Amino acid sequence: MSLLEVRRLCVDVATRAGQLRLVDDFELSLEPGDRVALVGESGSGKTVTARALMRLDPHFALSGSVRLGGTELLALKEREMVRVRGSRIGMVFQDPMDALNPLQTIGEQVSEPLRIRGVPRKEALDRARMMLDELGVVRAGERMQAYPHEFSGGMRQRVVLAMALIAEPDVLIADEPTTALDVRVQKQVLDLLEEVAERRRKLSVLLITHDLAVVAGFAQRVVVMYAGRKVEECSTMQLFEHPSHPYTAALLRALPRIDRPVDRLEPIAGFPPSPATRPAGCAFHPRCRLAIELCARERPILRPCSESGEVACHLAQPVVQAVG
Amino acid sequence: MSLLRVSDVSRTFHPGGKTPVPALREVSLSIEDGETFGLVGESGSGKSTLARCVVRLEHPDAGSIVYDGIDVARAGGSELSRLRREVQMVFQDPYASLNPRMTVGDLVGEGMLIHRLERSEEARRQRVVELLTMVGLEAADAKRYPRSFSGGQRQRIAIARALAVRPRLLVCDEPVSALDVSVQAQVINLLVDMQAQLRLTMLFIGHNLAVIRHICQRVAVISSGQIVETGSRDRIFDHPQHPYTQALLEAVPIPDPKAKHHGHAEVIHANWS
Repeated sequence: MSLLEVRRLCVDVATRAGQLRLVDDFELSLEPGDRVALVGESGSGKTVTARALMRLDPHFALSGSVRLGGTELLALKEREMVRVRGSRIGMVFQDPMDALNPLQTIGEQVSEPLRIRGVPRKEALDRARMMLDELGVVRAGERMQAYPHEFSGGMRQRVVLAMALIAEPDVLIADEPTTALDVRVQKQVLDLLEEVAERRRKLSVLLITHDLAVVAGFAQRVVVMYAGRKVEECSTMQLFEHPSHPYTAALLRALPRIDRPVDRLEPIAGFPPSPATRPAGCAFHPRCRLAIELCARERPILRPCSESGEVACHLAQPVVQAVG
Repeated sequence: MSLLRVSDVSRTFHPGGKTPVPALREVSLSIEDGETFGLVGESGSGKSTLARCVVRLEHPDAGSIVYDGIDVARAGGSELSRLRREVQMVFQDPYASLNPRMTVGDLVGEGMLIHRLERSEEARRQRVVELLTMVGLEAADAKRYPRSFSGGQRQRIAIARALAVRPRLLVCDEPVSALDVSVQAQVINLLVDMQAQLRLTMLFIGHNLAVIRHICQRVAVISSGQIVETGSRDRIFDHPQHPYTQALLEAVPIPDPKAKHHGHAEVIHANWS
């Protein structure tokens, strides 16, 4: 039994145009100590999936199953869910400024997850200071009195990470934690995230990103999403060496690389569909160079494609040979 | 011959009641006719301010910018008109840079109208279709509004709009930063093709070093309003001289799970020796 088990998770939202499926039959297992990346382009459903795991959006209709340590999260009452958020699953968002209250001191905010769980104020503040110290906030004691606007982007991300970790969650979800940051600060935050994961052997980290380079440096395993569906899951090494899904392979070819300059990039034709315009069959088929008639008609299911991986593609086997 | 020469340009902003912010400090660079020149820097480095000075959306406090013999800040009359036609800009956000109330045809044709480039409406319409096809859109798209296009398509519209007046210098400020990887490569290839086909000179501003390396022949690195290093692509990426450039390059994540381990191995090795 995994720490976190997501089975057939669907996320629907009601729009003026009718019901829209944002995430379709998503599956994921996380073990303690896992470092998994969830990658996809904008609109692929990666953030919606993460938010659904924490049930952050009341207007999303969720179905399927999300079990955390045996507890079915989708069956919990909202007041029970409150106890899961922060204490069992911590989350870091893309823009730390949105996650922080501009009118509260850093100390108040970092200690809050403990205080609302009944930890005495003084102890909570002490632990907040230690947490900030561990995450590399210099003069943490003094900085506890500061307000978010007095911190730089990278420092704010440390504060948000401290808030997410202070109640010692089993799972940390980091949603594009470095996207808004400059490259040097991005490296600091990624190194920090790695340090955090190394120090807490049992913490499971789900890193959500659109940046394959970030994936390569952090994750052991990668889940690729396209148009609200998981299309491939495999080890990070396999993803970069032998991607099984034509979308993953095409994405790697389209990426300008600082380490391997090429004369010409190979773009993917067309553009990613929105949930409202998701093509029938395999959602990637209109952009896929290898698509056959079956791809437009029938949606491929996920099936094993290597020792550790699975892929949703009718052509999975031939593709491995053709691309490899 | 240099098409654009920026000499000792400084620009300081004075936000109300606060300490002045020097955005550019004695910046000098020159861009040769026909080359693609990259300006790379982090947020707040002054790179966009420089772009805005080049296209005269902003005026330097000191120094000069000379485009093909025209002093950009002082130009008037026919010189200004030539400058406004020959120097075009593509912005980062294709959602903010296109007037939502204009059709794509009007957006692309507007510059031709202003600069009286095509005599008849029919000639203009034909040229719009030609431009749309050139950037990978369809003739029928001329009648549609920007809202019905994705980010990548909007950036194509913005590029067609800039190219409509037959510019010589294209200033691109982070033109692919807002785009997804699968679409980013399309727009990069389009810019590279247009540059070659139309013999454009390009000032390409960005923070993504992999993109800069792919597109630009020469590169300048800007930090806190100062150019710290200028050189050929190979020199900047393979033999960076300035510590800032080196730090920037070292921080770039490499899309290769093996690269990381190599890095670690080297560090450990270095500690031993």
